[in-house]
Amino acid sequence: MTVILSVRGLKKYFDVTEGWWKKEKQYLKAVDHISFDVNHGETLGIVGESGCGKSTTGNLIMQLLEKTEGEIIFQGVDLSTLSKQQLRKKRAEMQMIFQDPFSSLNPRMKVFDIIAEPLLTHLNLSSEKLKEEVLSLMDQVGLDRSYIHRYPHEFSGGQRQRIGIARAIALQPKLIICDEPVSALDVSIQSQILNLMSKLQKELRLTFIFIAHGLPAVKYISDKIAVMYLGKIVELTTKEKLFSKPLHPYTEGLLSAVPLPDPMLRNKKDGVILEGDIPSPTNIPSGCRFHPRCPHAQEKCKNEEPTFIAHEEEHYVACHFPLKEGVGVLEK
Amino acid sequence: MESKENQWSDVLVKSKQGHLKRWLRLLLKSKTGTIGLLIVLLIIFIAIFAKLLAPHDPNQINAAMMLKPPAWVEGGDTDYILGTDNLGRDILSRIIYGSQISLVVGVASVILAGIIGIFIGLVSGFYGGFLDNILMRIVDSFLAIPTILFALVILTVFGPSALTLIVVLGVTNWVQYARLIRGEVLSLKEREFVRAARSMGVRDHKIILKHLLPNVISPFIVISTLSVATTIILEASLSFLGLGIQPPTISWGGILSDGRDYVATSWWLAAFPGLAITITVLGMIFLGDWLRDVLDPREKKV
Repeated sequence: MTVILSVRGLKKYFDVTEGWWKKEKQYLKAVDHISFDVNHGETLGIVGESGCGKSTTGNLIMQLLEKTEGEIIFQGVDLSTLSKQQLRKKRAEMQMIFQDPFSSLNPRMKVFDIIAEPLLTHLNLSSEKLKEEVLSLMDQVGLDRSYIHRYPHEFSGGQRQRIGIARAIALQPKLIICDEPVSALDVSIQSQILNLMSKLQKELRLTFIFIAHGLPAVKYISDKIAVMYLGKIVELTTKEKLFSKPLHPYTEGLLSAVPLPDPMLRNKKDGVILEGDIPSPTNIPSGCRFHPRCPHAQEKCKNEEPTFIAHEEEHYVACHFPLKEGVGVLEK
Repeated sequence: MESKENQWSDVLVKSKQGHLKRWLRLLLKSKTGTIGLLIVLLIIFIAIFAKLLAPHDPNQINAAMMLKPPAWVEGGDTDYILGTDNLGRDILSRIIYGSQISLVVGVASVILAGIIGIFIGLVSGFYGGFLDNILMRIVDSFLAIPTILFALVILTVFGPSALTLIVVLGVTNWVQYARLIRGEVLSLKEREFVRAARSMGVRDHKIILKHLLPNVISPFIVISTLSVATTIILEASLSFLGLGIQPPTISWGGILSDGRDYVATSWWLAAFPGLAITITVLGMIFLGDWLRDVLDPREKKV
């Protein structure tokens, strides 16, 4: 397995200093030193509450935001070393699927123009070839060919997301960043879209970074999962390990929050309910940033920031006192 | 929000496909919109066919027919329905011919202002930062200059003519478009379809032309109809002050200005050209209000 993307010590601080007379700068630490690798063909899920920096991470990788520090190495190349021209070429290999299928498509463009846009930007196709290509993309994502001259508003959310997916796979990219691609959709449509995405992943050998705020969607599609809290990755491991034996109390809290369909199981579940809200990223708690909400917090947690280490093979965690008997979601 | 937006693009899309019926249905729903459109169409019709419609030569001086009152007033002549001015020229014919210049100046200056304003607004909003700051301060300083005063100075320096008038009115008006378009662009560029275009490496000018421009056209259309109305008033004011359209070219403001000395005794000299201006402006405003209701989801009453 080859590593397609590695992120090293990535930071993004937004300057939120109010007023020019204040000497001390205030920063919103949206992403605060995170590192991970993604192998070719696999899916990394990134989960966390809103405001934890997961979307910022996606935008940083896509070079839609400028990083403050760190390295983003895609196919062996540090993206920040590329010239504007080189970066534009590289963009053909990494695409994005967006959260809101209503705002991600230009209301004034027809389906054909939307799907053809990446092709027109990077390739030089004759108009017949272009149309052929667009039609075959529409087939691939399950859109009827007759829709080609329709406008986005004539479609439902799920169909719009299919258009967005067709646009993302048009250039046969290596990496697709999916920024909460199903969270704006009905539950019944969610599974259709997830199925489509995993089908396409197999067919096209895609690598996904799948950003979501809840575990259920990620569970279905991911191979590895990174749990983010306040700009940091607190736990990173394979899906199986994360769900069966979480090490970080925050992961455990997230897992307990997953609703279970069976009421009998629901009662047996002895999970932890997380108290309180996520603190402001402008004012990050000292020591371990999770300690004010952590049920197992001790004195050390308040003062000393835990390092992100491999607790066991392929299981990284940032916690002073990792759970010994982590309570996972009961396996069905 | 979402459904409103849908209706909004719905209207535009359908019209593009030639669904005139839909527009017509929407139009007929609104009384004022219908009236506005009819007035505007009527004025355009009059302006185009002025030669055929005018009963007399508008510049024909007739010493025997000086200051005739309108036909229905005592002493009026049925040949001169709206009466004559101090040189015996037919008021109706003059108003009919005057519509040409009022429309041309109104529309041309708005187009000029629109082109400058849309360009500056797009660039300023899209690139932001230092460039945006500079451009917006320029806009602010333009807003600080009283329009009439600025127009008077320019017209005095360059000499009054229809062309200078169009340029002056265009140059003073672009700022409002620039601000409007910039604001639209600021919100549009954070929308995901623009970010999508960026992430796939679409070049800046393509993003501006394909993603931003088509989405700022409808607010522009709304403001420009209203702005044609104010421009017609401004042109009339300048012509009234003697720095607008010069005789023998006839403009409504010019007719008003000609009749200035006789208004005390001959009310029709001022009343009818004034009425023509009022009706045209009202028509434009009605039409603009209706267009805003249809095109702009934010102003829409639910």
